Amino acid sequence: MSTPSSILSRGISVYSIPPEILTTLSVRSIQAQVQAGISRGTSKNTDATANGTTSSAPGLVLGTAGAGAALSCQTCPNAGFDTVEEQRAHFKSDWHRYNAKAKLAGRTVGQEEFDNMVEGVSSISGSGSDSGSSSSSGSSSQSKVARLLKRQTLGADPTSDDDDALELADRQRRAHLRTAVIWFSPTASIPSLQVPLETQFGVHRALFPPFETAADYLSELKNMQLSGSGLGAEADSERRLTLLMVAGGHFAGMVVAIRPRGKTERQEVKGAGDVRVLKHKTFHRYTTRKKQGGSQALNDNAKSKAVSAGAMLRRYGEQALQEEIRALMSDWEEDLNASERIFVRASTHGKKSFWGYEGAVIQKNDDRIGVFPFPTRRPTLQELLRCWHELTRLKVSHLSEDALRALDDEYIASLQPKNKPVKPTPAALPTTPSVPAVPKLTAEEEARLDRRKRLEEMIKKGRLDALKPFWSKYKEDHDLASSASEYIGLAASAGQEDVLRWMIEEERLDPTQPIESAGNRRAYELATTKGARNVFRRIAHAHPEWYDWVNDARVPSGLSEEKEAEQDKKKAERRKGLREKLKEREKVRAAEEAEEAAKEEEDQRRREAEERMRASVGAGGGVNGNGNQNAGPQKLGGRVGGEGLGGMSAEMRMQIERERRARAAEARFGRG
Amino acid sequence: MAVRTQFENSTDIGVFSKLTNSYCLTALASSTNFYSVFESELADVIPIVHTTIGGTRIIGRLTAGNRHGLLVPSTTTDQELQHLRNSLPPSVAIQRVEERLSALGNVIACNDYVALVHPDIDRETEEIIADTLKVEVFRQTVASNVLVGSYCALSNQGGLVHPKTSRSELDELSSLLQVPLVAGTVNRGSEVIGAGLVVNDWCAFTGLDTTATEVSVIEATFRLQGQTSAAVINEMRDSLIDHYA
Repeated sequence: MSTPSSILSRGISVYSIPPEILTTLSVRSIQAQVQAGISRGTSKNTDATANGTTSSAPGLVLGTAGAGAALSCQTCPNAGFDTVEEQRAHFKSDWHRYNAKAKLAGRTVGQEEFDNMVEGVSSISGSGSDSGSSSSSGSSSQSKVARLLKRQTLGADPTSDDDDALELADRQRRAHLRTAVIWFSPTASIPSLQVPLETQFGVHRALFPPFETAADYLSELKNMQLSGSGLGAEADSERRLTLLMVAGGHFAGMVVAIRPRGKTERQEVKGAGDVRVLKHKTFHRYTTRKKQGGSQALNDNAKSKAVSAGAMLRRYGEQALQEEIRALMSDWEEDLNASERIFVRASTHGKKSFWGYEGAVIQKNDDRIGVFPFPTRRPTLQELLRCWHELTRLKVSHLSEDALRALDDEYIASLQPKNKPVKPTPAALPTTPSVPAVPKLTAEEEARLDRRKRLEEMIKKGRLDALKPFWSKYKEDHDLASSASEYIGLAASAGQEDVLRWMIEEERLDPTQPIESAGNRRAYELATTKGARNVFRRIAHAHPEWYDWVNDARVPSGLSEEKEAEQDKKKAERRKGLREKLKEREKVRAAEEAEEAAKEEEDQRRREAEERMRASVGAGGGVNGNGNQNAGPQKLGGRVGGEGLGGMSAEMRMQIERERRARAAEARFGRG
Repeated sequence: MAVRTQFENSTDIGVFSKLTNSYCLTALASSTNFYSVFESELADVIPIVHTTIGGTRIIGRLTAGNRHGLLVPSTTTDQELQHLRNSLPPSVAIQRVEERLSALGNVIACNDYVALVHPDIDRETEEIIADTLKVEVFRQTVASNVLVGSYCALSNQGGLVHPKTSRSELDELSSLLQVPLVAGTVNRGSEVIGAGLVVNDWCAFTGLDTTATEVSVIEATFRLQGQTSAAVINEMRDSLIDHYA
């Protein structure tokens, strides 16, 4: 493994690969080999077709000769007959039978070609006994036609003799078809950019049109490059990609220019970095059944139409979402038409929002449309940006030739002919340059890792019942025993007293060992609660002879029963004392308050009397004979009795009361 | 003579009946109206048999037959087979066929001499067809449709085929069948000829929707009123061909 070099530590865009790298690239390994195989196959095919044309030439002559006669066969090419009997005989021939079926598949063969094919079949079947009299004998020839048809649907190259070779080619073809990423590797190291020889660059296949040969991918990769500054720059600014996602009522769409954003240009999307987002839009509608999931339409189709209010809402939401997306599609028509590729993530139902309706902007069979070749999360703008980076950044890996070969072999071997799950391809290799390939764990190691995780969880959650049998079962395990101190530390930091006690007292795990992961501290020092610390101290008191508690385990002092009881008592006393003091203080305050309240009452009465006197003097007493006349104003102003404070909170009341007292005191001092 | 009728409000009478030169099958209906129409035309000449095939009423699509025999699919029950044996004349051979394509009426179109069959039909079935119905068997398609039984109606006098059959294909088929063929429709434009029309050498029944023009084409094609086809063409040119001013 070589150390990652500077150029590789940055993300390289697929569209702006440094020319130094680009010139040295070649398509790698599986694809290349398979390409060779396929090109071999195709060359064979072209040979075959060439043979076909040359061999059908006499047929052609015959056809033209027979063209003078009015009788012919619509199905078989170049078949002409002089008499009706000949024609009717032809309609019963194998050649015609074969063509009658082949025509439905859109291909028919000439007489000579058919004869060749039949020869091939009989030689393959190995029962060459009646091959001489094949054309006339009824049922055997029929089964020959059937066999022929079966063979043709089976393999690409029916004339090949070697079944094993066929199968291998088939597997390789599958391999070729299934890798999501196409890997390129430089043919020489590039010192100027610090790119070592053992470097592989991956580009998502989805960015390419569906090619057949390896060379196409390389030339297309070169074509894809931005031309930088100069003449092509303007054309570059027109290049764009569209990403569309709809799922669970969320829609997110984005049109991105392939040319990155310049430093001076305005960025509209937060966190997009140098991605030049031309257009973006997200919206959400309530379409998905809560808790249950699945769209309303699906549910309606599966069962009868639900009539609940929620169902109505969701049905409306689905409709509205579809309409919104369609409106957006026509808004973006120009961008969509200009896009090089369109990536769509949608369910079968969701795809109806994009195409297959009247006035649709994109068509279902558009070559530019592709799916995201990796799992995507909920459609949001951030997710679109992530997908954009994932799609358009070069994947870089550093693997040696041997490692690559081993991977390839493993991959091809893993491709079982039928219905076997496909193992991760080289595409699933580490994509970041700095991280080397994760060493593959053996089953044993994995089991150990799993056990460790479970053990830690049990300790953290204090599940002693589960922990005891588990520990007794696995304590011989070297891995667990060696890190016993860590587990004590874990229990201490989680504050699990029972676990701690059990570990130290019953299992006699050593609390004096330094814990490396915690900077060589001891378990006692990791304890987060007093209870946990007390466990250590109690045990230290009970068994002082076990360890050097003070120095090795760093437990400051033991904690005896008496000591603890004493401490508790002290605490209780302190608490009691506090309570009494509080009570006394309360009492004193209450007395003071009562006194003041009495004073105030008196004060108030006096003031009222004065006021009344003043009022009767001012008004002359003539108008208002009613003694009750001052009730209104009194209530508003002067007399603020207990019932006026009724609606207030206790605090508020207290505050007002205190102010009132202060005023009263002032008044007294003033008078005094 | 072509008669228009319907089966319980369906005009696809070819689905519910089978007509040959020596017998006629009709499905069991809730009333005997359908049966009565056939009875009024055929009563004294050939037996008319009420039956089901495999418990269904779509007997026209499930069976294939001519003067010499009747082919029924493997779904036919023993009781039904026995009933047919009892009802049909002894000269008619009845054969149950084990064939993957079990709707024999859809995959076989035949008159008393020639049968067109679906290209995928079994070799064994092909032999049974040839032996039971005493016909020459040709694997063919009609206007690129493999369901030859659905898209054509044949008698010994002529045949009506799918309206989109090309001229050259018509020629080819008629040289195979040795009868004149016409591309046409039934039931006011339906291209599923076999479902809308049952015909033998002297009588035809069509769906109630069939227009007068379609009826006259049928009568001419199958020579049901003693005309020659040349006469028909002269007579009907006006109604069949638009004249441009």
